[in-house]
Amino acid sequence: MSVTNVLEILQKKVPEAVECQNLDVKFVRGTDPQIKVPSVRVGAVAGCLKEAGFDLLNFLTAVDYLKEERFELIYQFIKTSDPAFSVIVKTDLPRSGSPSLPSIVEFYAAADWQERETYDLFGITFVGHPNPRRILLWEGYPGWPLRKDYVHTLDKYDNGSEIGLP
Amino acid sequence: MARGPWAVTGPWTPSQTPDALRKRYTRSLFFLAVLLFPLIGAMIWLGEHPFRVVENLFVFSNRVAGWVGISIPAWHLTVISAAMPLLFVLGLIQVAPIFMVWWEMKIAAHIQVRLGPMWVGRWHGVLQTVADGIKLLLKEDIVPIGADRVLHFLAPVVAVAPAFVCFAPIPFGRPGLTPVPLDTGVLLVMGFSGLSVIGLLMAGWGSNSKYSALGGLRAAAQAVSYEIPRVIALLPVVMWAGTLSLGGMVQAQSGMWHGVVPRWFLFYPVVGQISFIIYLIASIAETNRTPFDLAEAESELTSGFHTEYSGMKWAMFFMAEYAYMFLACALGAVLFLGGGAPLHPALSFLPSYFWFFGKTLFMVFLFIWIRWTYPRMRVDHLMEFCWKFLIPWGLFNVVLAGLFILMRSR
Amino acid sequence: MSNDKNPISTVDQIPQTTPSFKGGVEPVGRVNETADSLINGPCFETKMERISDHEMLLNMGPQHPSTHGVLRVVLQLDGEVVTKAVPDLGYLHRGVEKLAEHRNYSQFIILTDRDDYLCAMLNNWAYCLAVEKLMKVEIPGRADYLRVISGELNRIASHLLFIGTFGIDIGAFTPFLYAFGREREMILDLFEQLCGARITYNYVRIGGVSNDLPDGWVEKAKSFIVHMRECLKEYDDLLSYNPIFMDRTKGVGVLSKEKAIAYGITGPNLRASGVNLDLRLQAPYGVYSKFSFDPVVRTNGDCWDRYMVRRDEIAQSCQILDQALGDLPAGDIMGKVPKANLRPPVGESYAQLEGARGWLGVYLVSDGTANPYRLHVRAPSFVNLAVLQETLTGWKVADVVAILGSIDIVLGEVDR
Repeated sequence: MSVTNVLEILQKKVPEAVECQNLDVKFVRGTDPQIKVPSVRVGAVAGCLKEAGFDLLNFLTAVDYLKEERFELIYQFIKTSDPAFSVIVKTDLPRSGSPSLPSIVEFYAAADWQERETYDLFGITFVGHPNPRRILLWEGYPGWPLRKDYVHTLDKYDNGSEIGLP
Repeated sequence: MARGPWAVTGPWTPSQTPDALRKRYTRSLFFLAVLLFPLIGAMIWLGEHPFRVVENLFVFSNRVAGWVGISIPAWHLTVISAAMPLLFVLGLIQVAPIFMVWWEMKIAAHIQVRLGPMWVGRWHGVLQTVADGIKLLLKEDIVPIGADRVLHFLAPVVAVAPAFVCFAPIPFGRPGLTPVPLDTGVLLVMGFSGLSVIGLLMAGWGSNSKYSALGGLRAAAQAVSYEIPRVIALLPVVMWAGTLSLGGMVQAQSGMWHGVVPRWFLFYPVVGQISFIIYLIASIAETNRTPFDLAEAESELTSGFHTEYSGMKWAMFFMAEYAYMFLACALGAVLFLGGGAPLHPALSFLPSYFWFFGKTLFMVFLFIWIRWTYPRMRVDHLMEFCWKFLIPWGLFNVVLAGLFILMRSR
Repeated sequence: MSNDKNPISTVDQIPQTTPSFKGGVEPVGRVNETADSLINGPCFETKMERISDHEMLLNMGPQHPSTHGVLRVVLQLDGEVVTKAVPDLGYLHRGVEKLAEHRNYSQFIILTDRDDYLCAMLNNWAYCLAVEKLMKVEIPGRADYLRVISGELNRIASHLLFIGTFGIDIGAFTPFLYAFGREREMILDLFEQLCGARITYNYVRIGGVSNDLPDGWVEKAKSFIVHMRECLKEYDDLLSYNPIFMDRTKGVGVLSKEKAIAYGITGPNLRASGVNLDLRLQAPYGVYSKFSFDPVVRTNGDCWDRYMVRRDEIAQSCQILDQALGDLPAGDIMGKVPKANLRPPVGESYAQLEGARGWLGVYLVSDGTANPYRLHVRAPSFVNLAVLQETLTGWKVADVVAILGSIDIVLGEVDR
């Protein structure tokens, strides 16, 4: 199993999947194969990879590239028969509006809480998630903390002395 | 002497090497012997005179009154000597938990590689329980909002009160030392000890808390179920002794079989052992001790039925548990271990109450030992164990006892 | 905002920041209570299901003797049987991932200590692996061996604590004092001599480790391993094969292989369900490829198996430690890494290792500055805990505690 194999398998179902190109010559990537897919096709990708034998979703998270005005979501899939080889699937989302993409909970139950965490901290909505609620912060928390442009609004848990309030 | 962590000073700190431990324990045993020797000597010398305190005091006070010129009417003596045993029982139930709690803390600590109370009372924390009792007296009495005040108030009382009654027919040594000699002692004890279940239910319901409700229900189910194997385990003893009176049972267990084995019911072939084991297990379950303590399972329900109790009310529940434990052990000692009968007639210079308390404390030690060794059973396993294991074996035991008695009478 | 000068004296002075709390809190009456609504207060988006008359809501935690930290589980009970369980996280959320963006790479190691505070060495190590992968740093042999030794000792300490607390959950009070109060104290004493700290070590640094072994440490560690092996027999006698304990844990909370893999469960929980997946054996990192040790796998996937896997892993770690302490090479303990102003090249990396609770990974994105651009901790306890929603239904309240205990979570890691 190598990158090209995985790419071939994926491109049968999802022709838009491409290998991540180096955007910058100096950019050091991990050694795992990385594949970029459009955000709307994430569900199909997950299904395809599950059939291909990648049965473990290791982690799911997002990175906020403020300057490039995009979120990048990262999924890592691993085969339990060969944990040394993993596939990282990346997808871009525009930052404006309410970014959303399909949820992959139906294929990987591990995505349940990790998608809730990503929603909680970034504000990315996962369409089709059975329980789309915040998980670490409380319901009604203002804002999405891990975004780069997050400004903390004072609430009853701040005593205010660090910003000079009386 | 610097005592750092073991990684600095070696695999064991100097006071923890096996040799040092051996020396420490022999030294402690020696001190214990030095302390107990005069105590036992005093017991042997005084004999049963402490129980005659009232009579002797009356005789002495009559003499004093004679010197001074007053006369004391004789009915004083009858009233006081009737009340004395009851006051003795009351006093015992207050004092016994003080000692037992301290003893339990020490045994538990030593099982768990630690020391237990050491500070309060200069010597190994003997006054720890007294200090705890004073603290509990001074605590704020909190009644939860929405609790049924009457039930909440009365629950500890109902839980403790039957214990006092149950101690009345127990012979504290030879049959003559019974506070209230009754012909149906066993029946009374078994009957009244079942009343405390009502107290648990009242506590569980009256506290207006889900934890308490769950705990109370569990406790009630457990207590009611385990009464049955307890009574069934006692049936062979009753059949063999031919009487329900506890004094009579002690009488039946005096003497030796073939001059070798004391005539205790425990040593009765097969039936004695099975009865004792069933009685022991059922008593542990009745008194809500681990492995049957799910009514107060700390890690699951915070505190079960006594979650919402603080201060003296909680102390009453605590005292109830230890009083019932003492009762169960005393009953076990009387019925299975011979009560006041000595191990060998040659040792009968030691007064009978020494044997009685010794055997009771031995059973208390068993209870404590079992508590700190075993995990807790789940509620359905517990019920299953009672109804599907203990009761069938108890009934089989009764049949076996009947067969033995039939064979003996032939 | 209140402080000593202006204490808040009325409810109106509390800043109303959340729309659902404006105008006072709607009381959650008993009729409309459901496990979901109890989680978030008056939540207008959630559908209010009416629970039946004979069901009861029981709130376990966050302060509770047995949830191993501040975890709240709302249980819908039908008598003693759980019909629905909703875990509520976030009580220990400290925003570690956001804090990372405002700290140096070396400063962040302290924060990793506090993620999974029971096996902090492994947390440090995972993070350092990620940074070293990005910087392509060469680790000297001795440093790698020291990392393995401290990591395995920490794994033993974590599993000892598990044995103790699992025993307490089931009701056996004594093994806790043997495992936690005797053996684990010995390990903590070893660590105190090694790096000065007992729980949050800050020992594994980027490029190597911070301190070298003091004199006589190796002998003490070896004598500890001998002692540990004897104590394992003691735990077996006291707890593992105790009939009551086995009754409480055998067959309880069975996690099938497929469900475990679907939920992303790794570590001892997965190995108890029959999947032989151990990063140290199949994807070795550091110098693990030089050691030979047996995998620990059990097939039933119930609480007892999860307990026995961890107990056997202590023996496995002793095996590894024997070999590591025997072959410890001399040399440097720190590679060629700038002491100050550490700036990895622009890029990303993901490194994971076999933590005491599962696969502990760190995903790192660097933009060439002194602070990470994005750092995500793949916390095994967080991923493992998700299965609780499904696994608890159908079991009794007593089993809730057993199952939760056997998954062995640390709230610091779950919430970060």
